[in-house]
This record gives sequence, C-alpha cells and structure tokens, in this order.
Amino acid sequence: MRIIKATDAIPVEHPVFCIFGQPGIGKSSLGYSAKDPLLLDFDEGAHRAANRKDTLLIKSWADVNEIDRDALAPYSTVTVDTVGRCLDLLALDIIDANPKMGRDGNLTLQGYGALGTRFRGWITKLRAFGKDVVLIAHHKEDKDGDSIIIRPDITGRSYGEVMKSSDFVGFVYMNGKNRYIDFNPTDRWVGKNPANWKPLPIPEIGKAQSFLADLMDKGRAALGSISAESAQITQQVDDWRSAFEAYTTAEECNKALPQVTALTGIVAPQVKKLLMDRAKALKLEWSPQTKAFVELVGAK
Amino acid sequence: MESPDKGVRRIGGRKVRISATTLESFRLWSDPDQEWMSEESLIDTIKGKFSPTPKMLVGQAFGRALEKPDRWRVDGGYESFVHDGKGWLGYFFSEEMIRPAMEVFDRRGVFEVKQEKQYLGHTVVTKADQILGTRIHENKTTTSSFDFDKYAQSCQWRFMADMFGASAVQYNVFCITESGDTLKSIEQFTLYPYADMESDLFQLVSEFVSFVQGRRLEEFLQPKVYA
Repeated sequence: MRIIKATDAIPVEHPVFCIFGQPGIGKSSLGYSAKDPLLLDFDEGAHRAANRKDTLLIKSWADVNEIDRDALAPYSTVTVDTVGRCLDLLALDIIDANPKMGRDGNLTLQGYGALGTRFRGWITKLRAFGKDVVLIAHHKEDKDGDSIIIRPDITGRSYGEVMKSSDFVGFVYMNGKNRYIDFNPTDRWVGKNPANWKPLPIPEIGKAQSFLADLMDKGRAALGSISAESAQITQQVDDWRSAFEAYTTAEECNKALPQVTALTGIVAPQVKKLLMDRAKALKLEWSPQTKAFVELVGAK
Repeated sequence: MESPDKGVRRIGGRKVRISATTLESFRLWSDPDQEWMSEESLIDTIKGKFSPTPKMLVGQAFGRALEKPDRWRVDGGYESFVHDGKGWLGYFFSEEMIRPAMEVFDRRGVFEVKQEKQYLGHTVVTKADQILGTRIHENKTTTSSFDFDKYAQSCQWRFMADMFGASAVQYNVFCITESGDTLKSIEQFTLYPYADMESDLFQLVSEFVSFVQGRRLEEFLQPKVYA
C-alpha cells in the first residue's frame, strides 16, 4: 500500500478523451489512431473507418460484461464508439434488470442515477485495468438565443456524466479543406483543455496513424505537470502554515509581512489568508494606518 | 504575444468594483433565451438589494454545516443558521444525510481565499471556497437537478481560475431535496482554464460596464470606504 501525501503529485496515468463531431468527419479513424486500440463498436459504423484495427461489435450490454482484464490485455486504449449509443444500451440494461427504473422506454430520475453510477464504475474499471479511454460522440447543435452551441450528442442527464468523466473534450471540425480538433470551450462549442492547446490541425488519415496516441501522451504529461506543480505549491503553503503556527505576537506577524507581500502567483493569496487567520486567532487587529498588526488593548 | 483585451472596446468614465457573482448574474441575464431574470432584478443585484430564495437558504445552510461541522453539531446531526435579510433561520441536517457529503469534502488547503484583479481598469473581486496547491475547490449545494452546463458555462470559475492563476477548478455539487432532508447525489468534476479564457473575461467586463454606465449605476459599485 502506498499512501500519497497531500504534497505528493498524483499522476493521471490513464486520461479520458472525449471527441465529438459531425458524422463522416473521421472520428472513428481518429479513435483507431490511439495507442494499441480496441474499438467497441456500439454504432455498427466501424466498417467505414479508413484505418480500421481491432474492433468488437457490441449489440447489448451483455457483450460489454464479457470484456474482462484478460480480453483487454493486448490493448492500451479502449475506444467507445459512440458513447451516446453505449449509454443507450446501458440504459436498456438497467430497465431490463429493474423495470421500475424506466417509464415509456426512458429512464426515471432514479434510473438516471443508476446510469451515472454504472457508467462511472465502468470507466473506472477500464482505467484500473491500465487502459486509456476514448469516448467518441456525434455532435448536436443546440440553439442558444441567436447563436448555436455544439455539444456531444448524448441524451438527457447522460451528457453530464460524459462531461464529468472526461479529462479532455475536443470538437473535430473542418476549416476549409483541413480538419481541426479544438479542446477549448468557445461560444460555439463545449470543450475541456487542461493542456491549454490551441486548435490542432489533424493530418490526413494516412499520416495520422498515431495522432491520438501522441496527443494522449502529451495530455497525460500536461495533467502530470499540473499535479506536480500543485504538489510543490501545497508544500510551500504548508511550510508557511507551520511557520505561522509558531507565532504568538504581533511583532512576529509583522516581521513576516515583507516576505509575504513579496510572494507572487497562487501562493500569495493563500499565505496572506493564513497570516490573517493566525493574526485573528491571536486576537490581533490590522491597522490600515500603520499597515501592521496591532494587539487589541485588553485582548489578553 | 497578443493582448487579451484586443478588440475589446475601452470605456472611459468612473471605474467600478465588481464581484464575479454579479458578473455571472449579468451573463445569465444576457442570455436571449432566459425569461426568469428581469432587468429590474439584475439591477437590484447590482444595487446589493438581493434577497435569497428559500431554496438558496437551504443550500447556504447545508454548505455552512459542511464547512464547519464542529460549530453546528447538535444531537443526531447538524443545525446551521443563515440570514435571510430579516433574521436568522436554522436548518437541521441529519447525520445520515451529511455523512456522505463529509466524506468527499476535502479539508486540506486554505479556505475562503479572496483575490482581486484589474480588467480594463475596473476591479473584479472573487473568493474561492478553498485552494489546495494550484487547484481551486468550489463546493456548491443545489436543490435543482444537476446540470453540468450550468457550472461549465458560468463565468465564476473562469474568473477564479484567471485571477488566482489556478491550474484547475474542481466542483463538488451537493444535490439535496427542496425540503433539505435528503442528499440526492454528489456530483464532482474538474474544469480547466483554456487558451482564450482571459479575452472572454475582458469581453464580459466590457459589456457589463457598458450596461452599468448606460443606466448610471456606477455609484453602487464603488469600494467601501472605512473611516
């Protein structure tokens, strides 16, 4: 057992990528460009992909239940094509097992709760098996006043589940004759972009055999770097906290002010708050005139 | 590097101090499809005349109980108090209801951290519920059903991420019943700053300031002066 301390980085070893776009734009082909992929073909559309690799046709959730650690051993990535249809089959399985979870073929509120729990559990299991996960979705256009916002085409509350579970969400689109994927949320489409990527051109399919594999490695590195930086900052803030806890007088608090004021970045507001909290615990007051902490008369 | 305020109209006149919460109200009001918030109600928010609804009060009370459980501990659960503008109201939450929420509530890090930043010469202020390292943790309570886009489209997390220079904003959304006696679900997700985020924020501040100046509301958005 390895306990990870608050000040240690937690690497994100198996990120979840969600990719959405219009039919025929090459999403399944992109899915096959992940590292050693197994594509779960929920939509029965994999035959159209240009660079098809290993594929498992999924007709019902029973087929999904048969996928165990051994079956996935040769693969590094599980591509779910499409996640909308995957959730539809999962919903049917939930209603089959418990008809009270459905009404007129749709999930009840309780049914959606079960769907969320089971979907999250399944994704967690795939990651625990050591697999990266790619969720592919068609796009849909929702009217938002005068403008159109493009989202993954996933019905009802399942949409939230996919957006919550995904570390990266990218929209694939054509700009002239070129394909792009944009992970940035804009006023035209939704997205998630921990790596701060600009819109990325996608090479022609023949030259994009490892496009997603490379991108997922970069995404993994970006998430790892976020975690490492966060752990380092946590340590810095903890060091300040320990120092402040030893303070017992206004003089000590005031002595720390030049150093605290000189701090920059996300450390600065945290350390300032810790110093204010310590001063408050010591019943000190901040004097705007002298810009220093003072002891309240009769406070002790 | 291109300036993030490129293309944003520079506005003269009196500078204002705006909370990220007020900017979010303005963003919601600006949605052409929304019908639930009137201009009068938005102006009341700007003037600080905001009165919380019963749903909001339940949510606030639940959040308070989670943040400082020791303070609100009573027999069989927690009773926290919130002010509705007229007086203090107490809300009881059972042990069974609050325990699962407590389990996901990360108590490390620094709580209620304030920050301010200049946008087009105007001051925007915000307060993060909690910061751990470079990650902001926001704890929300809602009596409505969970709606991912409601949070993802909000400008509040964008302002927080930009103003603190955070690497991520993690939301813990506690969905409770209107009566406040059942915890329906806990929804957790993370949002990340993105390439053009700062220019989106400049644009929103610019539109808000134009609105405020057009209705001569600047006097309600001035820093408090203490004697």
